[in-house]
Amino acid sequence: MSPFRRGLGTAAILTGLVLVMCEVTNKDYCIIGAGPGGLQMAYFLQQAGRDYVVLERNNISGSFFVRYPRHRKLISINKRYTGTTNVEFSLRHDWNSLLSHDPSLLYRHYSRDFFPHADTMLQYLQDYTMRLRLRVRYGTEVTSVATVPSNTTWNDHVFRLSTRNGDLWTCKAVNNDLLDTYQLKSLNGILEASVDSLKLEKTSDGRLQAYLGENGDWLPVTDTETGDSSGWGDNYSLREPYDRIIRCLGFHFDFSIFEKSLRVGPAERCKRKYPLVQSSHESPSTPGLFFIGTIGHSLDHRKAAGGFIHGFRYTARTVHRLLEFRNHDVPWPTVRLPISQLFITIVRRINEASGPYQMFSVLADVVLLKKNATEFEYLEEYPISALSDFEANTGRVADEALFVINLEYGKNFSGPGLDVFSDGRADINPFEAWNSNFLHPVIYYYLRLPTANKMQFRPKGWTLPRPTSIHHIVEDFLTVWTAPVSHLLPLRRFLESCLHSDLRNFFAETCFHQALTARQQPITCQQGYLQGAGLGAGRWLQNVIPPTLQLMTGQAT
Amino acid sequence: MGRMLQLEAPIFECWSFSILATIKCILGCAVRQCCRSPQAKAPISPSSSFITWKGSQLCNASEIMVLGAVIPGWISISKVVSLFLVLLCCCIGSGIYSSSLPELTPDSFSQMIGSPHSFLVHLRHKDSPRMESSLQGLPDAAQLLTEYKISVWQMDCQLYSSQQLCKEANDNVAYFFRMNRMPYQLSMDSLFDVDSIVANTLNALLVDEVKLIQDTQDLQLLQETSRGLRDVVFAYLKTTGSPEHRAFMEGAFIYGDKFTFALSCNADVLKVLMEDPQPGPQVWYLHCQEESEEKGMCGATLFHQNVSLVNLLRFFKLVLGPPFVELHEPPAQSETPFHALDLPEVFLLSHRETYKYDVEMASKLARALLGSAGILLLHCDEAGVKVPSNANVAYRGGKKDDVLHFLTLASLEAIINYVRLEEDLMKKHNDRSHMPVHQDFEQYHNEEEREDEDDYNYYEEEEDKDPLWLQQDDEVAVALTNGKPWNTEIEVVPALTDKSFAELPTLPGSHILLFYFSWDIVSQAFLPAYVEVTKKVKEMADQVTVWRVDCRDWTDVCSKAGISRFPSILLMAGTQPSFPYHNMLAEEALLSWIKLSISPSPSMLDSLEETLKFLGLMGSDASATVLTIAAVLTEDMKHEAQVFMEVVKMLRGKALVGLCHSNSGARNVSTHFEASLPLVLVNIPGENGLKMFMFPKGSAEDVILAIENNRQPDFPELTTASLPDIMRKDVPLLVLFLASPCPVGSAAKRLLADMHAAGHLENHTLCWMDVMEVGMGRSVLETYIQREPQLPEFVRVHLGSNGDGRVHVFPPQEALNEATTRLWLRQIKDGLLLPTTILDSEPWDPPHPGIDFLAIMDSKLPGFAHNKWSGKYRPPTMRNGDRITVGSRKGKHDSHPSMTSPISPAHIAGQNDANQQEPNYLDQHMKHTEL
Repeated sequence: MSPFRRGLGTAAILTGLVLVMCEVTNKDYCIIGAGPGGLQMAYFLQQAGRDYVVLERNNISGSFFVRYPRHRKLISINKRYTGTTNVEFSLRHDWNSLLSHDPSLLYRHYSRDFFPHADTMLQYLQDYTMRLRLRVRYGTEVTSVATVPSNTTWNDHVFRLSTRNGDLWTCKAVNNDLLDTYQLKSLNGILEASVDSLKLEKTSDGRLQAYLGENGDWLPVTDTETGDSSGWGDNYSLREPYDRIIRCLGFHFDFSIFEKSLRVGPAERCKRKYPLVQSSHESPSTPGLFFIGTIGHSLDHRKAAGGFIHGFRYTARTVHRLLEFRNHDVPWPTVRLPISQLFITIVRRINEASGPYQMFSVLADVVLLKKNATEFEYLEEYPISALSDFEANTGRVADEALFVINLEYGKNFSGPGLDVFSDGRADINPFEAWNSNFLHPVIYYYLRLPTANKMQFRPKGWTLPRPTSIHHIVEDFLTVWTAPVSHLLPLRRFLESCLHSDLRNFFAETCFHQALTARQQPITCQQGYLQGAGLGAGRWLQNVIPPTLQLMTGQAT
Repeated sequence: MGRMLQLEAPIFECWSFSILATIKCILGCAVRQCCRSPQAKAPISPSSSFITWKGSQLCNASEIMVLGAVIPGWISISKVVSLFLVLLCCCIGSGIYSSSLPELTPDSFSQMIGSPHSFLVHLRHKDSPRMESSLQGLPDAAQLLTEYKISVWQMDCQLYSSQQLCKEANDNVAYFFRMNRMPYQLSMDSLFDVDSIVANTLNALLVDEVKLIQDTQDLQLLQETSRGLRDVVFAYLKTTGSPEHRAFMEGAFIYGDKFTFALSCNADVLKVLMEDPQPGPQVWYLHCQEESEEKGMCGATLFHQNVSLVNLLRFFKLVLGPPFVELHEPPAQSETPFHALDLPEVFLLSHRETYKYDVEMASKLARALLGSAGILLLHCDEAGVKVPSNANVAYRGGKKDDVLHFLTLASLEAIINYVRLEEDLMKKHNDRSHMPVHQDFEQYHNEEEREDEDDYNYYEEEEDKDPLWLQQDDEVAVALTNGKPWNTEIEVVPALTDKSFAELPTLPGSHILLFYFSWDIVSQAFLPAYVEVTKKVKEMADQVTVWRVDCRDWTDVCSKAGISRFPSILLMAGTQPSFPYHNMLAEEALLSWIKLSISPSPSMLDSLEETLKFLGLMGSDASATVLTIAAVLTEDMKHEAQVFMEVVKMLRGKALVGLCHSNSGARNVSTHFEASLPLVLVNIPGENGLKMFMFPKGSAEDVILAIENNRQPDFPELTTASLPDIMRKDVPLLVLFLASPCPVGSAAKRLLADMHAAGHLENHTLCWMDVMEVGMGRSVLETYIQREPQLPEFVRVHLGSNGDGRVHVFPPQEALNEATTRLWLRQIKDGLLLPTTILDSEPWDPPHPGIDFLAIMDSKLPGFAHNKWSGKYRPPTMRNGDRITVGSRKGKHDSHPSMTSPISPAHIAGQNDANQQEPNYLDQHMKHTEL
C-alpha cells in the first residue's frame, strides 16, 4: 500500500468543522465544532485579532477522542526524533500537533509513543485551547444554519445558527488487521451493509449471529424448513455466528442542519460523504460558508493529507489567509527579495517546508517575478488548484512570469498493477528526475498566470497545466535535496534558463575585475558586490580561476 | 534481445543440446572465430554470455542424450533465432574448451620441464561448473601470455591419472613452471577471467622481482635500500586479479630492468605517502635514485591516470625522458615529444632575464605533473611567439587539434590546479566516450549491459551533447573544492540554538550572529573568514561574543531574527533592536564594522588635544583605517547636539564618531582650524589632511548628506573595496595606472590631484590603480589598451550599465600636464577622439541550458505533458507553420467552445503575438510549449 493511501486509510479522527460568518452571536466568524480543525482555525483568527467564536456542543475540546477510536490508539505518527532540530522539517513527521507559536504545544511533549494513546490527544487539545486562550463556547450545539439577507456584509447575507439538542455525530474507525486478514482468508469477515438493516442476536453459546434485512425478511434464514426456498441461501456469508462484531461505520456528514436555500450538497462519487467545496474550501452555492478540517477532504481525497490533522492544519492556515485578504484587505504574506536570493530561498523551502510536504500537489509555494525579474515575491502554501484566481485570492499581482514550487509523487508511484517495492522504484539520475516515483520537488515556470480554461484542460493526471518550462528534482532517499551536482546544479541551470540569466556566484575580486572590463555584470555581482556586499575571496583567492582567464583561454589561438 | 534470451533460455535448455551434436561441427569453427575476437562488432549481450556458461557446461557433459532435433511448430521465428543463438554459444563454449588449449601429454611435459620456457598447466580432472568462467578466459589469456613467452597447457588428468602432477593436485589448482624453480601453485579461484589469469601468471613469473609490501615498514625499508640506486614503482591494489593488477604486472615485465616494482594490498601502507588516501588502486612513482635530503623517504609522485598498460608505458617513457624540454621555436611548428605522446603540455613563457628562475620552476612542475603534463620552457625571445603581455604560461591539451591557450597563473599551485582540472575533465570525458583499454568478453558485456538501460543512455546522450553540463562552473564552488577543507575550525565559533538564542537578550555585552546554511557555497566560502574574525574578536574585546546559526538546523531562530537572505550577519545587544551588517563578506570589513559598531558613540571630546587625537592627527591608531567624524559644538547649540545624536545612530558601523561639546574645547578647535562653529571634521583614512565643513542646518538626513559628500576621498585608489562606492556615482572614471616605485607616476598623481582640487576634472571620478600591487590591475589595463603599456597610463572610461563603455587612453607620446589633460577631456566630450576600445556588453546568459524535461516527456511519452484540450497539441515532429488539424480528436471535446473547428494557422499566429508581449528577458527563450 502506498504511503499516502496508507496515511489515508489509517489516520483515524476527526470531527468536521464548518466555518461561517454569522449573526447569531454577532461575531465576524463562527466556527462550528472545537475539534482539531476548529481549534486550528480559531488559533489563526485569534492571532490576527479577529472577532470569532467556536461553538462546541460538548463541554470539552475534541470530544470525538473521548470515545474514539475505540481501540484508543491514534494511528497518526508521532516521530519525536527526526535527526534534526529544524522545527519546520520535524513537522513533516509529526502528524498530531496543531500549528502554533508555542513550542511546548508540540505533540512530542505529550506522548512518547509512535502511535499515541487517544487520551493524550484529548489532553493536548484541552491544553491547546486553554494555553492559547481560544474562545470556545462549550455546550452549544448548532442544529441549523440559515442565511438572512443583510446589506452590511460583502456577501449580502449573514448566517443564522440555531442551537438545540440533536445528534449529528458519527464516527470512523478502521482496523487494518481486520482488512488484511479478511483478504487473506484468515477467518475474519467484513460486512458492508447499512446498520439500519442489521439485526444481531446472541446465540446460546455467547456468540453473535447477524441478520440482514431484505424485503422484510431477515437473512440468513435459520429455519431449516424453509431452507429449500431460499435457493442459494445455504452458503450465505452470515450463516455462522461470530465471536466479535465491530462497528466500523465511518461518518456521514449531516447535511440536514443547512437550510435548503444554502444548497449544501455532497461531493461527487466516492467523495459523497464530504460536502462539495471549491478549492478555497468555500461552499460553491453559499459564499462565506467554509468547510475545513476532515470534512474538507474532498479536495484531496486519496491524494494528500487534507483529511487529517497533519494536513488540514495547513489548509486552515490557507483558508485563514484567503479570508484575511477578502475580509480585511490584508494581502497574502510574502517576502520580497533580490533575484540572487531566489535559488537559496527555493532550496531552503524544498528541504524543510512541511505544508507542501503534507499537502503535496494541493498547497504549493508561488514565486512572482518582479521588476523585470530582478526581484521576486515568495508566497507560501497557496492552494494551486485555484491558481487561475491567484490575484483575486491573494491581493498580490502576478504581472510577470511566475514559478510554482510543488512536491509530487511520480506518475507511476502506485495504482493497479504497480508494485511500490518494485526494482528500480527510485532513481538517482537527475536527467531521469521526471520519472521519480517518490515525493520530489517539481517546479513549474509560467510566463503568465494560467487561465481557468487551461487549469481545466491540464494534462491528464497533472495538478497544473502544461507550463512554459518544468523542472523535476530527482527524488531523494533522505528527502534532503542539497546534493551539489544531482540536485543543486540542475536546479540552478533550470532557474537560469527561465530567467535567461547567469545565477552563478562570484567572488568580489572577480566582480571587481568584471566591473572594470565589461558593461554588463552578472546578477550576483550587481546585487551583491556592487551594493557593497560582495564575498571576499580571502583564503580562496589562489583557487579562483577568474572568468576573465577562462574567456582568455577560450579566445586565444 | 538480450533480455528475451534470458527469459527463454531455460525453456530450450533441455533440448538445445540435442541439436548441438549436429550443428556443432558445421558451425563451430566459423562462429568461434567471430565471437572470440573482442573487437567483433556484433554486440554480445550479457544474457547470451550467461547462456554460454550454461551451454558449455551441458556440451561438455560426458553423457549427451540425443532427444531428436525437432523444433515444435509453435515456436515463433524470434524464438527460433534465440534458440539458434543459444546453440551458437554452446558451440563456442565447448569449442574453446576442447581445442584451443594445447593438451599436455606426459611426454611433452617432461620435455617442457627441461626447456628454458615458462609455462602454465591447467589440470583437468572432471568438469566442475565453478571453474567454467576461468576456463573460458584461459584461451584468450594464453594468447596474451605468449607475448611474455609463457605457454599455457592443459592436462587431462582423467586420461593421465597416473601422472605425479595429477595425483598431487586437486582439481582446483593450476601450476606455473619456470626453469630451475619449484612449481608455483595457482588456485583456480584466482584465475577467474583474462585479466586475473594474465596478472597472476605474470605475478608468479616475477615473484622475485616484484616486491610484496606487507606494511609501512616494508615500504620504508624498500625506499632505504633503493636510495641512490633505482627509482621505485609502487602500486596499491585493492584486489589482485583486477585489470589494474594485470596492467601493473605487464608494466613490471617490460620495465623491470629500469625500475624496482613493488606491490601492496594493504591500504595502511598508503599513509606513508599521503595524508588522506583515496580508495581505489593507485600507482606511485618514488624518486629514490636521486639523493634527497630528507632521510628515509624518496620523493613521490602519484600517477594520476587510470591504471592501464597504455598509460603506464607512457608514464615510464616520460620518466626516462628529460624532465622538461626547452623550446626555441613556435610550438605550433614543432613536434614536441609530449605532443607525440598525446600528453597535455604546459609552456612556461621564459625570457632571458628570468631563465634561471624558469628552469627551477620547470623542474618543480615537471616533478609535480609527471605523467599528467609535459613541461616545456618556451624561449619567447627566440621563438618569436606573440604572447599576451600578462600571460606567463601557455597550455595545450593532449589532443592533436588542441590549440595553445595563454594563461596568467600566479603560482606553481595555480598551474598544477589548472592542469588537474583539465585532467579531470578529460578523464570524465574519456570514461564515457571510450572503451577501456583492456577489452575482453566480460568487460564488453558489462558495457553492453549498462547501455541496455534507457536511463544510462539518456545520460550518455546528454553527456555527449555537453560534457560540461554536470561540471561545477560556479567559481566559488570550484574554489571550495580545490582549496583546503573549509570546516576544520568551525567549532571555534559557538553554535547558537533556539534556547541560547532566547537567552541572548539577558546576556551582557554585544553579540555577532551569522545566519547561514551549511549547504550553501557562499556560506561555506565565508565561514573560514568568520572563524578568523571570531578568533580576533576574542583577543580584541571580551564584551563581544561571536555566534553562528545554521538555519538548516534552526530555521525558527532565523525566522524569529527576521532573516530572509543568506548569509546574514546581525549585531544584537540586550533588548535593543538588532543591527544588520550590509558590507563585504570579508574578514577585514567585518572586523572593522564590529569595532565601529560596539565602540561607545559618540566619543566625548573635551579638549583640542582629545579632538586631534581622536581624529588621528596625533598618532592615534584608531583613525588609520577607519573614517573618523567629529562634530564641534558649543554648549548652547542644543538643537545641533540633538540632531547630531540622530546622526550618530545612522553612522553606526560606518564611522568612528566624536563630539566636542565643551565651550573651551570647541573654541580651541575652532581657533586651531581657523573655522567658525558649529563645525564638522572628517578624517578619511589614507588621505592627507582633514575635511571640514559647517554643521548643516536642518535635519539629521541633511547632515548625513553633507558627510556623504565629504567622506569620499578626492583621489581614491581603485580597489575591490572602493569600487562599489565609486561606481554608484555613475560618472566617467579617470584612472591613472602607475607602478608604485616609479617617480613619473607620483608626479602624474600630484598633477592630477592638483587639477582635481582646482575643479578642472568635474563630472569625473579621479582614481588610481597600482599595476604592481593589485594583481588584476595589469589585466584591466590590458583590456583598455591594446599595446605594451608605458606607465603611467591615464585612461577615461565610463563604466556600469548606464555607461557607454568607451575607453579613451591619454596619448602616451604627449606629456601629461594640465593643458593637455584639459584639451584631451574636451576633445572626448566633443566626440573628436575615437575610443581606443569599447567595453564588451555581452549579457550574462546562462552558462548551460537546463534539462528540457518537457522535450523529454514529449519524446518519450507523447501527449503526456499536453493539455487535454487537444486543439493546439502538436506532435513533436510538427513545426511552426505546419497546418494543424485535430482530426479524430474533434468529437471527443466538441462541447468546448474553442473546439468547434480545426485549428487554423491563425491560432498559432495569435499565440506568437502573445509571445511578443512577453517581458524582454524572455523573448529569445520562448518556445511554443505553453499551450
